[in-house]
Amino acid sequence: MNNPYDYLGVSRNATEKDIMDAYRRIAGEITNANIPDSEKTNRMNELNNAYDAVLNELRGTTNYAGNQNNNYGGNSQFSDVRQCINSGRLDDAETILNGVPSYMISAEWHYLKGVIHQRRGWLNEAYNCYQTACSLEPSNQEYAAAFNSLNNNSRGGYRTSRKTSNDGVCNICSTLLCADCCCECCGGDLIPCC
Amino acid sequence: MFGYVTINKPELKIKEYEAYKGVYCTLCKEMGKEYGFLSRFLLSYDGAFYVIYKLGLSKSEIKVSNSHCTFNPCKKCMKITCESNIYKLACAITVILAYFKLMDNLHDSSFLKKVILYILYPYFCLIKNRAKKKYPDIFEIVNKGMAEQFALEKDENAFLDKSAHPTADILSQLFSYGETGDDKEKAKQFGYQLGRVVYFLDAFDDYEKDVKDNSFNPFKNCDDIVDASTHTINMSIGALTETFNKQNFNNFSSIIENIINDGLSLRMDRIIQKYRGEISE
Repeated sequence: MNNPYDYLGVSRNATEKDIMDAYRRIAGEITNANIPDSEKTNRMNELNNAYDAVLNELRGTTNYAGNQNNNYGGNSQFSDVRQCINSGRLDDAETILNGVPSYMISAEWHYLKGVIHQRRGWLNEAYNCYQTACSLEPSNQEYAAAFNSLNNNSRGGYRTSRKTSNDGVCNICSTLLCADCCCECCGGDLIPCC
Repeated sequence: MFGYVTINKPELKIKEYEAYKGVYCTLCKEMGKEYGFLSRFLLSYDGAFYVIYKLGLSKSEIKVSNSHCTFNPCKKCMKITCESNIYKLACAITVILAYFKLMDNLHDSSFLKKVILYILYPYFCLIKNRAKKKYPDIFEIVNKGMAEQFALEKDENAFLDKSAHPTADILSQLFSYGETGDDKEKAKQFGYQLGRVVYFLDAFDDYEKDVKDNSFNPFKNCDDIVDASTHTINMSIGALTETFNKQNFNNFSSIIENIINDGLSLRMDRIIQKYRGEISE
């Protein structure tokens, strides 16, 4: 199954109802088809995966292809890998990536490798992969965003996000006192009483 | 690798600190009840954090009452209880981890220390068996992970992520134990990253000793120990914070935030100081 949209026979801007109708139609076809039961189960699984992928994207929970495919003129090199990752089958995704011949290894390959590592929690490997992807294709925003978020964390960015209320009254007072001392050194006076 | 998961006290509110102490006290008492008086000395801050995290996720009501410390009867402390068996679970985990810590120390310590540890050994076996009987699955998780970790440290080619995997995996399973659905998935991620932080903090702390004794350390091949470890640990704390933000905590969320954000980085800063201080001398 390469593209869930083609599989369901719906367009990229289909509504939820269109998708539901397509699902019912294909499910009906599978049930009535004259094939063995095991084959029926396989096909139903395929259909369910496609349905989930399309519906998730529509509801905005994942962006399996939409945004990314735009970067590639509507055609991602590894859409099957992205799909595996989105449905949580990391091992399958990795197997596909490892099977790719070396002349096809691109920035996207490194990026997806990084995504798999990150999902597993292997952040150092993910960092290296994102870095390679970014150096191969510096203009790609998807890779840059992934890299920057890890890079920001690695510099302790999570700390600055919450410590904003540190400047209290004490800071103001000490600043004023310092300013007063400086003024006095130069012969002036900022706070007359001290 | 004990005692890294602590609070950053100055950043806590008094009531949060009281609650934290209350959980610690209650866990201590529970240890005494479950595994005998001596076992109370095994208590660690990591165990307290485990209870805090689990109580935070728990949906049942938490009861607070006043009580006294057994070691110091004049000192008052809160008793924080919950209907579920979180405390019992945390006790079993503490005992089992302490047992494996002892086994680990038996392998690499001086003769004199070994003698002392061998005297303690039967006692640890006894309480370990008691915990194993109650939670055989927990024992299996730790046992398997520790065996993997031990085998991995013989392998000189193990890279950073791989070397932390067994420890991280143990914590991932312990933290998600008993959770269901979406919570389980997130608790898994949380535990995994926490395991990485603890493992790398420990490796960072022991770096000098390991280099001197020529024993395994994941940062051995790195050029600059401080840079490499802060980079790695910071990334994991960041991921921990992200997972924390995605989870819904019913209680203690500010304490958990304090521990994973300020507590862990405080520990890291202390270790950095240790190295930086020595460099400047």
